[in-house]
Amino acid sequence: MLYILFFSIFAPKSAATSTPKIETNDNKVSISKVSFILRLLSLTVILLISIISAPTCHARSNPGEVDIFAGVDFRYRDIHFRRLFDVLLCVTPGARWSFAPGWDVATQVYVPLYNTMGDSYKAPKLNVASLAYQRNIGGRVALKGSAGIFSAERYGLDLKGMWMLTPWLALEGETGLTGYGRYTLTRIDYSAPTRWSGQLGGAIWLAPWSVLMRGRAGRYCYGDWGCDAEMMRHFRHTTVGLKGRWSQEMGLAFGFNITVMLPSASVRYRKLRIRPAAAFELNYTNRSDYNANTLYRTDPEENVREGWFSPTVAPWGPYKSTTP
Amino acid sequence: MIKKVFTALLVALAAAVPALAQQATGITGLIHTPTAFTGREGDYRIGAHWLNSHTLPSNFVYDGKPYDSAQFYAGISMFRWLEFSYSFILMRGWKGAYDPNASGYNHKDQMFSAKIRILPEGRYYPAIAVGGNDIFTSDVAGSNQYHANLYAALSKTLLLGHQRFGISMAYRYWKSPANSRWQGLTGGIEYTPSLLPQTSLMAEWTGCDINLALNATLLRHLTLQASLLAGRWPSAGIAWTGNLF
Repeated sequence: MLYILFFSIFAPKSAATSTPKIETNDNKVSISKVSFILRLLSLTVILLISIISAPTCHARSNPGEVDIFAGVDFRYRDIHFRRLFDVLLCVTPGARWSFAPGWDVATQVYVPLYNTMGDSYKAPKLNVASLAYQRNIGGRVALKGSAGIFSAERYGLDLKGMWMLTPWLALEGETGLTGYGRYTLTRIDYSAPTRWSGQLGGAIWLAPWSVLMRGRAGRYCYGDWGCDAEMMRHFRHTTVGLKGRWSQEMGLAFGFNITVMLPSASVRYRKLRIRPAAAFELNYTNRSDYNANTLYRTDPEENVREGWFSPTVAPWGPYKSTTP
Repeated sequence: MIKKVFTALLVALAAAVPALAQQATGITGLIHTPTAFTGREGDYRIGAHWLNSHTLPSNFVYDGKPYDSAQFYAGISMFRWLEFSYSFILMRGWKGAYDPNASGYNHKDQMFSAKIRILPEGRYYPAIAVGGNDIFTSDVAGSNQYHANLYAALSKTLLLGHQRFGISMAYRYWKSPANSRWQGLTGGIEYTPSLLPQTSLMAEWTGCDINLALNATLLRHLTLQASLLAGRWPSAGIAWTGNLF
């Protein structure tokens, strides 16, 4: 149904239709701005309805399965007084193979579709290519080790841990040894993986209100020290959070994040599953610096709603309720 | 054709839910003045409001003339007692080197707004809420807080038969002298008829003017607001509303 609606909105119409068209100099026919905006609004409404009505995806594959997925990464920034926003819209195809219980190989590419941020963002880049192993120890401790190329243009080794003290309290920590790494089709830049980063903190889960409060402090991946705190509420398919953070590089900043789990429509062929990405995330802070409070992600579909681990490895608080 | 449109309108109205007034900032309220009413938990609003120059601060001028603008927002009732929103308003100005002919809506002012309901409405006493708009700034001097204000509001629902009246009163403190005409006591009334619970009529005193508005929710999600400021200047807004639960 969605595909029919999509094509009815974006399919080219014949000249007999009433859609206003403009003939450009090089004889290419393009739709008018008004028509394009109307179609984009229609598509947005359809996507909203599909998100609200459909069951949602999860970032984890079943053992032995290969997932091919694609999502959208939307970034905007406000650094020019005489321009509203700089926008970067990327499609983010990726793949994940869970070749044994606890083991994952995952990769993801960022392909820019619309870019007003500058030339450094115009080339497709490898965002994540990592090997990860996660397991539960003694029922209360979850560990995950990763190696490879991570997001935020880092590569190296990473270890994450979570100690589930009570059903409502957990301690979390992450440490990594990484270097700068940017991998595009035309150019590879990297530095030696010698920078240590690590954060330690805790999380409190208030189940009656579906609220997760989290605080972490430590050294971030571009070498600055700082801390961040977040209060997020989990709704049916969406998580909305308010956050504050401080870094010695940038000072204090406030913002919010919205995580929407995407519909789980998929096509299966034996052990292969093609599906949308698990989630769409939007982050905003009133002040930002690329080198301040920056954290990398070791998994292409990692999101604040599902956390670092598989629900079977860390069955705690909000994460266990996301079990498929 | 007219019959089809009329039938579609009737279906839309039948599927409607009670209207909750919106403010251009994404926080529930009347037209320009705040209330102590809050949305249901999980209610969200994403919308745009065309604002007449008479609703804008007096320093929203270009080449010495005030101008109309548009505000875009996203807001949510995270809890029954907490609302939060992000919005930005377009500002007119020149682009690049000074050239009055190349002016346009090239600038913006972003703001966070929040409302905390500290006392829920009871049978005999009103709801009490405190809140503010444009409450954070990254500028130490605060010179970009065009809309900064704090308020305390009281609201009470009165039911006369099946007719619903929401009466609100607020004290508002504006930081910038450009908004001084709205300083002090404000208030308003919202009437929701029993026959059309998806619509409401509003009248408010902003501190210097009386504004009137009609609010309607169609197809459960589409909220429209048309207003007349000081009985003369029109403004309008549209929002997509829903609940995340």
